[in-house]
Amino acid sequence: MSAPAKTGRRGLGAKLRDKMNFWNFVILATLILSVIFIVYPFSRLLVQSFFDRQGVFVHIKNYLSFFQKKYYINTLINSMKVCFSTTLLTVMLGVPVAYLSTRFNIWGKRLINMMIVLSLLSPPFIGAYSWIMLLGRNGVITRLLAGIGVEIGSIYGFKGILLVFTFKLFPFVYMYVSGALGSMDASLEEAGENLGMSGIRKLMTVTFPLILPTILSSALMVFMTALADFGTPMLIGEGYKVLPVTIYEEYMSEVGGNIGFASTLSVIIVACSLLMLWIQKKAIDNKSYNMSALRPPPVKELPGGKRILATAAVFLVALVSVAPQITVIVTSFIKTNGPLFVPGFTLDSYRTVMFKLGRNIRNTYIFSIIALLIMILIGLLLSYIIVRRKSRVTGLLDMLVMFPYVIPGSVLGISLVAAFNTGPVVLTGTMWILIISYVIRKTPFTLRSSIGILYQIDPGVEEASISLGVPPMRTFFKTTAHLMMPGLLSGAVLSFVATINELSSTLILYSGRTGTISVAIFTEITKDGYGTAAALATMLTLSTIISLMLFNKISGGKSVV
Amino acid sequence: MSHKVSIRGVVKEYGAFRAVDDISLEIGEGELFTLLGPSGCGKTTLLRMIAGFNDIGAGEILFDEEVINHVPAHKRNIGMVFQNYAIFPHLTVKQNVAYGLKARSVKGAELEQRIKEGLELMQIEAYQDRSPSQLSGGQQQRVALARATVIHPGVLLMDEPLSNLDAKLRVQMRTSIKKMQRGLNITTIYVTHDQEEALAISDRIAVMQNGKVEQVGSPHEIYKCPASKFVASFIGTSGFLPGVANGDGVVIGEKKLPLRLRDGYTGEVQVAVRPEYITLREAQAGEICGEIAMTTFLGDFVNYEVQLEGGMILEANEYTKDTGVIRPIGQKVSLHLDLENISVFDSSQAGVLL
Repeated sequence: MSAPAKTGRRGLGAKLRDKMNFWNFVILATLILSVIFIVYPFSRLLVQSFFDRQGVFVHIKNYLSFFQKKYYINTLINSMKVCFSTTLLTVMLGVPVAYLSTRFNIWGKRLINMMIVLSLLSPPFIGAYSWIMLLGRNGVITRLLAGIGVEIGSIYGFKGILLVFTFKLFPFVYMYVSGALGSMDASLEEAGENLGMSGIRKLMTVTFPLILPTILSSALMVFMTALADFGTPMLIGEGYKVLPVTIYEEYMSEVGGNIGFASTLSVIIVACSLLMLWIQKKAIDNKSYNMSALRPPPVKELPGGKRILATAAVFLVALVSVAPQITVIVTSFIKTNGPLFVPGFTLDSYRTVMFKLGRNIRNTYIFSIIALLIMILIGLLLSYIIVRRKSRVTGLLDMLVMFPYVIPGSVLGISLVAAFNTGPVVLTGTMWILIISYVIRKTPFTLRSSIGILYQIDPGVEEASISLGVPPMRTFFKTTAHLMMPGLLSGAVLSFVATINELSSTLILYSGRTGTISVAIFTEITKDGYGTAAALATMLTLSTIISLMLFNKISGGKSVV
Repeated sequence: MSHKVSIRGVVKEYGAFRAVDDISLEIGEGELFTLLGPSGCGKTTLLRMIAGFNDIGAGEILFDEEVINHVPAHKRNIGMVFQNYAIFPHLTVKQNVAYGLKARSVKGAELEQRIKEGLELMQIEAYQDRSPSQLSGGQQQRVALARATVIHPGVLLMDEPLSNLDAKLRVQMRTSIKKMQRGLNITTIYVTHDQEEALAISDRIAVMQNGKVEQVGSPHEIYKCPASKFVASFIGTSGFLPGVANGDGVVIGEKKLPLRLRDGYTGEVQVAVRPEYITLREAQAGEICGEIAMTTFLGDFVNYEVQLEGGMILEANEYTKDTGVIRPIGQKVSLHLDLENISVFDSSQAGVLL
């Protein structure tokens, strides 16, 4: 565009000042930070995957040996088996439960929601650990049943992983689908009925197609989480090796870790994640329906008997999914003698934990709160530039920041080590590398939630404020930032919960002084310190419950997704 | 205190698209000036350029003698009323009204006094402690007006302020806006796509299309003497009859209208006529003839759609007080145009030739 002479006369300085406003500065700063903390570490990881353990460049030899050795290729196959089976099972469990609880007048909906969300947000490995205590070789239920002559098979290996994953991850499906079912305008189903479809046919021709994109999105979440999870298969998988476990073992191997090969495995698992993401995007392309219910669908009144039955079914599922949490809490009060539980209740486990592992407890909360503050700031500013300053650059930023969301924690940990172990800035061994990994990995919760609420805020409000004489920066904090708070903070609570429960990247990145509760639980379990592990897990569970209550208060009881 | 606004050769481009295409306007102090046009004509873009929310590609905008192209939006001392009101949802009515005053560091007794004046002016004192979500659309509109005027702006900008109200409230509000504007004597630039609203409220109107101003004039002028076929069809209702100018008149079918055209124009023309300037009589040879195709009784008048012999439809009104009867569908009639009140456009649909 040719500027006329008059505006052209303004100096370069004035033009630069126009360009370098606060938001452009934010864009520049986030771009630089994401290059340093996201692009650079993953590039280092990629480069490292072409080197062997002595640091010699070996081209694609690592990749070749992965695909040639049966041992490695089997871990990939195992991972895929686990992920696909889990996804299928969670959908089969989550969709009907969501349908029952949103469309029928079952009792205790709030409690059920709370239980289901809790099971999702508790640390991943607690599920595995608790199920072992219930159904393992020496489990409570196993012994009970053995007493009356019933033998249940081994829950270790594939079956165990599947059990834990299904009950831990079906909440994704449950919550997404409940949300979609609740925001579908009642008139859509009525129109279906009006046109002659009823009962199951209406369900199949109207309801189900409309929530299919939502089911696919939640299925992707399940798949990604199952693919990335390390704690569960590590504890309950035993001989059944999946990729994240192999990565950890290669990296940590007592005979000297093979960082090059661990990187290769990491790249392969990232490639799998991205492939799934791409397939899912293709599958729901142009098929997501923007639904906002003018009139939410009616809750159908079930007659007494059916109502009890429906409630019982939903409660049973919810109860099984929180069984690990309950187990952990109960166990934490049981007397122990070394690795053995003995009859009677005590606070000994807590005393031991406070005395021995006080530093881990402090670390968890200090790191998480620092990470939380950073994530709130990033969520606030980044969501604004993504929504209100749409451009190619901010679109790229959005993608960059969301990328670590689909990356397994251990992979992120290895990349950060690759990037900051040597060179100008050495961060390994410090608390900062943990905080950075938490921020990178858990910001997406805050960001998505902030973006969601920002779309609901009228941009005109800011213009009104500016036209009334308040400069743009102050306008942002007086109007939009203020209005964003509920969405921002409820997202931040989820980020916080995910942070205190983080294990897989922490396990790679922690050093003696920077261990956290989750690390302590993991090491206690491997040392058979079940009582202390349970006490620590109870702390995390309680923190999670309190955070969730806070979340409910902030978000006004709206659902998590 | 209120500014006069000069817009000189202003351009706004989005890529290759010219949203505002070389517009120049002079808006007098205390005038209520309307930018009227269909959606996408550039009226809102121009308004937002004046407000400072869109930058000015070329040309300049002046308040009195000062060029404001590079004055940031928050320093322009503008009152703005938005289509969706943009009331601050987290503040009470009173806090909304006080917002701009506080930004101007008005304090103490003066602050209270001016808030009170603003609330009283728009008759919203009773709601001052409510939150905006408890207000109806009309009440929110009043809060928006109070908030925009209480700061004593140099210019008041209104972007389709009535479009979210129901029909009856819209008519009420436009009267109060007009009264308020007269009372405060604020230069006001008003954007709307509703021609009736524009006619009712404005001192002068600029009719816009495709980023350009088609005509500027008082409501009466643009209704009586539309400068282009677009203006004739956009303001009120006009029917168009194709004809041929042959030097001493315009021939439509067999009918010859004794019209003197500018510069002795000859060639194809369009004759624009409004329904109220057509008189219906019994069918007569040599006149413009047709038959009644549709009858709509509207109380004070009857609107007829008359299908002409060529198949074209022309609207004509007959006033209930003048005739007692409603013509039946199928009746043959002849149409007589009031030559004092028609417009003639040349083949480029622009030049007025009468």
